[in-house]
Amino acid sequence: MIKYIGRRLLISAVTLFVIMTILFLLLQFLPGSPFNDEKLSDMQIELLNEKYGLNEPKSTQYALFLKNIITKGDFGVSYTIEKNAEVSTMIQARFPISIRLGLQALAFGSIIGVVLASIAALKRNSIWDTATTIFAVIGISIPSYVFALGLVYFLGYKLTKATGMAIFPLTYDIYDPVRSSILPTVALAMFVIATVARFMRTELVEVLGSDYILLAEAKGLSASKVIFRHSIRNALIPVVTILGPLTVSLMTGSLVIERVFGIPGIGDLLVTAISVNDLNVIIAVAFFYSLFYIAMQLFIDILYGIIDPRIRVAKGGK
Amino acid sequence: MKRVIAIILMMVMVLGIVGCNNSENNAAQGTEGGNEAATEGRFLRIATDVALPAMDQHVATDGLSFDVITATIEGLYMTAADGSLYPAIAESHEMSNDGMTYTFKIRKGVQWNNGDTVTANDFVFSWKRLVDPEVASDYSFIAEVAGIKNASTILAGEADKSELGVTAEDDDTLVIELERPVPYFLSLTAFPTFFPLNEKFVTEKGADFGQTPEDLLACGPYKMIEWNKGYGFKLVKNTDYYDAEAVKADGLEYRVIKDSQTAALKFDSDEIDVVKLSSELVDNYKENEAYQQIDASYVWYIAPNNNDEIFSNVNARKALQHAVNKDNIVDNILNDGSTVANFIVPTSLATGPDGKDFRETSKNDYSVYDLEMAKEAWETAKSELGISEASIEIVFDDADTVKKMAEFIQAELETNLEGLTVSLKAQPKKNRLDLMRTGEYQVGLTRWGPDYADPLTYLELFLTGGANNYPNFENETYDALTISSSTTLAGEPEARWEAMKEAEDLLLAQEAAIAPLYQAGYSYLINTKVSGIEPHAIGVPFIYKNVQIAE
Repeated sequence: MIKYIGRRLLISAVTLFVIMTILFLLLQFLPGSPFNDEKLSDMQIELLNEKYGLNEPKSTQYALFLKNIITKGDFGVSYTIEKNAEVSTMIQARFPISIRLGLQALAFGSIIGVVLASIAALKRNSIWDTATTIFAVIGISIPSYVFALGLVYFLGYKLTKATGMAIFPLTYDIYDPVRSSILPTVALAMFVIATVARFMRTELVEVLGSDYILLAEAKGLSASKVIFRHSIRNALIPVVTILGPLTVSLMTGSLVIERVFGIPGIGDLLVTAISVNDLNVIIAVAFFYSLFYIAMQLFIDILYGIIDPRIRVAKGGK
Repeated sequence: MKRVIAIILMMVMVLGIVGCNNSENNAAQGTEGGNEAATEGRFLRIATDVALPAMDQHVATDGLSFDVITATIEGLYMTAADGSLYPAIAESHEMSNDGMTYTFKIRKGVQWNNGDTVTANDFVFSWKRLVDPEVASDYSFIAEVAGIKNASTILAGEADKSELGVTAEDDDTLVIELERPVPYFLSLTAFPTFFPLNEKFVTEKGADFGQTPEDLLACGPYKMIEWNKGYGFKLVKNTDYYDAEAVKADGLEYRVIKDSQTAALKFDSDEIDVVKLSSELVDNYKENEAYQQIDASYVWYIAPNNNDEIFSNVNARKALQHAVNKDNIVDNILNDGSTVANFIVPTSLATGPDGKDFRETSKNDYSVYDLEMAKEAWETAKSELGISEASIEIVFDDADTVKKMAEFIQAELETNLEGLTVSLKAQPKKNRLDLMRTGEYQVGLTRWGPDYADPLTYLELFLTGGANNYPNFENETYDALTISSSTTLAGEPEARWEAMKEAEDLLLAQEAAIAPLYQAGYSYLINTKVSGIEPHAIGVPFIYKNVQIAE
């Protein structure tokens, strides 16, 4: 297991390095520039380029770029969004909230999804099953922007007006982070719930049809024990597989959710950076997303090993 | 065993969430510095659609930064609600007879909120920092515009910033030397780049200056106490301000909300007092009593390259002026408070010696939509050029609204001007600017914003050989009129006002150098209980010193 993790870590490091290089190259070819004002004279633009080291030959810039990131975690400064602020500080301030929101949505979404799937699988082909399917299809089809705005409008605005009490804050409130993150979490979790429910239900139905379940039921095991002790664990493996793409959808989903709810997160930072050509910020955020995704993949692989002993043995564990 | 591990993993996740939550709570309070007591009272709550980029007046280039900087620091003179200037940090000033030396008396008892007095040296330090090549301020050119002695050579890298024509004779006396008389010099001192800075504080802070509330000093109506980057920030009334009695509001609270729908909903729920409306929402709120249209001063215009084959012909240019229905652009494409502009010097920019706005006493229909005139001009152009058809290319920024405007203009021109085909070329702004600057274009959509409150800031654009003279307009009479307005006629307000009117007339009526489209404007929702917000079309967009909120 240790050897396995060690090997995976090495591969992850190489992947990150390649990603950084590709990013750097791509951004060199990006048309446009952060220095856009019509008032800037050519001389002034030269000065700005000098100041930020943009006039050096590409190879020098690249070497400096790598050195700063690896030794100091220094991604340079922002040109536009927060002028002259250290990008690493900007990200440090913003990514905890995004990660937290993402994990909340993942946890909330997975649990609800599993529960829904269990109900649907146990009572397959009944009303519950159909209801779950419909819910899942709607959840995957509605664009997150529409759903998020709907939540803000109905649960945030209309409900508050009707009851006179601000049950759900309209936007993210830094002084009331728990309560004001409920709506964003639900909005972000929609896709997770729908996907997990759908996937899990199919797996569960298959598992429930297998011989060892029949034996357990024959032995007189209660329905809940059947589900918890045997079925779920076996059905979880394929679901753990989709955790990877789910994480990606959370990262991209957060771009929209953060905008609608006014959350100062990393998704919103990326979108803004791209539209104003704040190069250092784009690179830094892309790096963090890559890091996060790779970490998730590693986590999933370890999870496999824990859930399914067969995989652990195959990879040369105990 | 495996179950235990699984449970532990789940607990770690949950703890992580809770942990992050706690550290975030602390983070929010950490940047406050005495927040609890300070948030008592009624704050003006403003929604903005961008995060605050900078609080350093030599780094900032956008309206929001200027708003907030101006709420915390003042200049020698400041602009009142009606556009006139009043002495602020300066108590009075004297101008030499030749208009090239200004002596300012600094008001006594003005303090930075760390106890230091504001002195003349604060201005000397700040203005030298403006032109410092190490700082590379985007707005350094404004020192040249203000005509300060040696500004041009310093900016060209041929002199050191210490040679700038600003001196502190003593703590209370500031002397400025100019290279030429500048009629609008006083109004420039109200611009944030010319605000004072505490030399000791700024030097100590180094690269950290302006990054957090602790790295800032205030001598104006408010001071910043909290800045949660990307989320919002708070300013509270500055009790050390020399005119603190005039400040009625307890403070300003800004919240960054990038989604226009959410921002409008927050206004409806009475959680926000001031919000800008996006064009989709304007129709919903036009009848609302909180709706206000505010003039900005960017003027967008079609710039035909006067050196081009077709557009070297004045009638071809005249055709461009009259062929496009601009009401449609303003009402349907923009629908955000912008207004049609058939002129180049915008409304509310400058008041003349007669006390009236430049536009009030000038013609305003230079490029009025008139199909007959357009078609006639076009036919004449075609016969003069000896062609029966033509195809042209319009270059523009690849932004949504500009693209829609370009497509509309394409349709109008092709429909109304027989034999004309128009192709479109979208470019990122920087590239578009480069193309127009080097003259490698045929027709372009561009805009200009003023640097100071005088018609010259627009008229000087079109001087022969000017860096921003994209249409490559060349006319000796025009040059003479415009240059005289800033030199020989500088001391004769009525004569120069007339000269500038003549210049605009020559540019637009006689020579049809450009085809103006619209003057930018904004639509805002402002809580009816709020009064005293002072919008300005030039300089600092909003001044909040005199805000009052009724119960």
